[in-house]
Amino acid sequence: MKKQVKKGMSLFLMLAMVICLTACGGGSNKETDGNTKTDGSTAADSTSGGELADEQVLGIYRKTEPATLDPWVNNSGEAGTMVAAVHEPMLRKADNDKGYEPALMTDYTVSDDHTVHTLTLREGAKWSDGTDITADDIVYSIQRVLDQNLGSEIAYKYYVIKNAEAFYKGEAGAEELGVKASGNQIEITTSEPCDYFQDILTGSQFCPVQKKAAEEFGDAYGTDADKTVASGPFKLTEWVHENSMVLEKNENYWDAENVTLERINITITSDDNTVQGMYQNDELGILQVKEELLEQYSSENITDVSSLRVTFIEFNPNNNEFMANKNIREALSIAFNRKLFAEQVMHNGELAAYGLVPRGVKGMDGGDFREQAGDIVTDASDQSEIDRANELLDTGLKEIGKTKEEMEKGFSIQCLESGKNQAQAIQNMWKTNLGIEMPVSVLEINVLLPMLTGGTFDCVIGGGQDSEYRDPQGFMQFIYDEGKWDNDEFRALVEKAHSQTGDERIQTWMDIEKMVLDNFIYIPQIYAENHWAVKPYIQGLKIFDYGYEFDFKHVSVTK
Amino acid sequence: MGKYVAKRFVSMVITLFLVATVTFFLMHAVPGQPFEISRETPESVKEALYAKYGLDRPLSEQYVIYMKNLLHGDFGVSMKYKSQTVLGKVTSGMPVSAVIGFGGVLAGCLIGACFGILAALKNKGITDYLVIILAILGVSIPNFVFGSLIQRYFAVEWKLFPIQGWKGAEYVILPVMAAAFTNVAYYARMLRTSMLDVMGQDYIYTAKSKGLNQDEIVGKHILRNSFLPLVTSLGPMCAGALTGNFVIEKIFNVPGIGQSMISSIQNSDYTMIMGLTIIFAFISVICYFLVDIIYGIVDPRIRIAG
Repeated sequence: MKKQVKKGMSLFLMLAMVICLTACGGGSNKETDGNTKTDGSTAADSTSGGELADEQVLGIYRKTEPATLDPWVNNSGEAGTMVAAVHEPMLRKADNDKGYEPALMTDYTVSDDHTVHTLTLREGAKWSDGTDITADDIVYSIQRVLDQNLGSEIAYKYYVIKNAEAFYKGEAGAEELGVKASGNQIEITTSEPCDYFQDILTGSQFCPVQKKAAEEFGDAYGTDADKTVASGPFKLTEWVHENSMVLEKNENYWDAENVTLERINITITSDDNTVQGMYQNDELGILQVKEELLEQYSSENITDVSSLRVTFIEFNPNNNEFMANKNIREALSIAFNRKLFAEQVMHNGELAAYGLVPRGVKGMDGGDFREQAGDIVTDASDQSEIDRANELLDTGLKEIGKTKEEMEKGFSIQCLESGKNQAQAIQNMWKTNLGIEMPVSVLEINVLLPMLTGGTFDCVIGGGQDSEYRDPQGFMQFIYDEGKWDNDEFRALVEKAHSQTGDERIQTWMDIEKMVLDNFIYIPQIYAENHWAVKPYIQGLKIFDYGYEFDFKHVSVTK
Repeated sequence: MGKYVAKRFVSMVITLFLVATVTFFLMHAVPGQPFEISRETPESVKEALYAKYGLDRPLSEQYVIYMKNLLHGDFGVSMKYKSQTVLGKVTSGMPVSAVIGFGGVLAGCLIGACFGILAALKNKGITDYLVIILAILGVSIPNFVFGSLIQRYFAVEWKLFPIQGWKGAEYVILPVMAAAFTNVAYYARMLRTSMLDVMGQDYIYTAKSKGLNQDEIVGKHILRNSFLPLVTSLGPMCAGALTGNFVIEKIFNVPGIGQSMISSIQNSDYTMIMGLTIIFAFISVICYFLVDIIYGIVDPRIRIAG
């Protein structure tokens, strides 16, 4: 009797486990009434859909609670979506050939030397409380972010403005700062020629805040529904922290007549099963689909958006004797096969990165930077190159008088939880091709970041660089700013780029890219890509490849 | 009695002080920082940030400042979410966590007790074996698996309850079910064992030989006596109820305090970590303080020895 019961019990347990496993898979593969798969940088941008639904409500989710919706403090791309929904930028990003559509700024002129930029503010634009948006608000916003008391983590991004750094440090007064207002015109002077200033203005970082509200709430501006004054198409009406947010149409928006969407319900949750269930039940209109789930969602309307981001293996030549050796770095670089990596780990061989600047960045004469610069690094095509990598490794080790065994104990590969698969794949490539197995340590982001800034890491995998504007500078300037790579030639080249404009400047950045990659400190992995499932009844949603992810201004919901 | 209470009170204050001190230094020893600053951030900006939050001062000085504020009842404001004070977070999140935590204990206890009684009365019958299987499942299936499971079926497939959120009574049911699951198993097993134990006692035979009918024996003699271990175990169960359900809070997106605790640690949000730890410590210390006093009342020997 007892034995029988035990048997029955184990059967029951097995059954229960099977149920668990299938349930956790969270499939929506039942839905076969699929829509055609579309590729492109923006989704569902057609207005040809059917009749409008009675309720114009969109459900979205965000993985983390935004620290703030203050455009001048926000440091997160995820929250940037809400920042740009609530605050109006100078120019709104668009996918036309200009790259933007008019917003708070109606006219822009620049001096011949590209240093004095004059912005004309839209007449009659109002805050959500009905008061006028003035040039004074904009000047105040800039002075505010450069005040140390605000404690903005991104204050340095405004150092492009003349004397901003000195003002921040308290060494210059407001009258020396390169920002002046007269009437509805704002004159911004940059400290060096800046022919990409309009690109910067499309970002959410230049959305003004209301002077009155910002003075009243100080650094808490934008952290609660009643501490935020909207200028964009939507206003924040409810914010239950670490739970949900509600955006409603802003009737005082300058272009309110072209905003159809009435309400956006934002769920803040990091639980994948929860958001998949919500998408399946039409509580969400958009769902980010991870590479490994693409097959499961193949019947859905999937939009692949390449994002303006490059990921790379980064070696730290200053912290570790193995990494300080160029031959060893080159050997590791050759032994890493991008194509294979992109195919196996990212499920898309097209993403393999052969340069530091991704596709979609401004090149010379309006072209594409990547196409013009070509592939800077290559994959090992045959065994002879792998042999060369082994020779380089041996030479390098001999130079520093170490063995492979010592190297395996000498440093570790550092990565985030999200980059674990990538790190293991690369660890495996190095093991196969070079016969060395480096340990992988998985770290929390707030542990890894200080290591990166402090220069105490050895080799980081899955890190990367993104840019808030389509300019090569966004992908290489950080190397200069960090100041850890002490190379006079490199510094001189970057400084030269900053004094140039137009194609000359782009050419210099191409030279810089080549120089950086020739030193095998940054080993490009892939150009990032996101996959979004969008419900077919969501029309006019714009998904961007840089800066804030979504623009809801033109969204409507059809029946 | 007065002396006993005073003694307990002093040890309570010392415990709290030690918890605060140890947490403070441990927290700062863990690598990480409350700011998510990009790597290219210049020193001037970093220094200004550290200065704004007093993190540029020596650790000992920061400790003294923190303790001084604490004595004034000032737990501070979150370093990451500037509109959230520690006390505000506790007052908004604690009741929510309490509903799920205590709801889970209560529901688990009631349902579990019923199962336990059934199993014991039908000892070695099919009900008994089903309850044992349930108990094993309840202990071995983690609550995040069970939570996702009921979410998938009750909310996504059958649409009986909302998937996530916290906006009304119907949002409470699934999280409480998930929280109750382990407790059901635990109490069913416990009551079954304790009832079987009581049923074998001499006084049950006496009751039977007096000619009492089955209902009277069960109601008056067996149940009353077998509930004792259950009541004892409610204490520790309730202590963990407030913070123990952070996984369920995450799955069902419930704005409870358990989730805040986890995210504050991940963000290295120093003020939040300190504040929440001290408040949790305070609650458990108060609980133990009360338990100690009740023990003292119940059992005079403890009072004298203490």
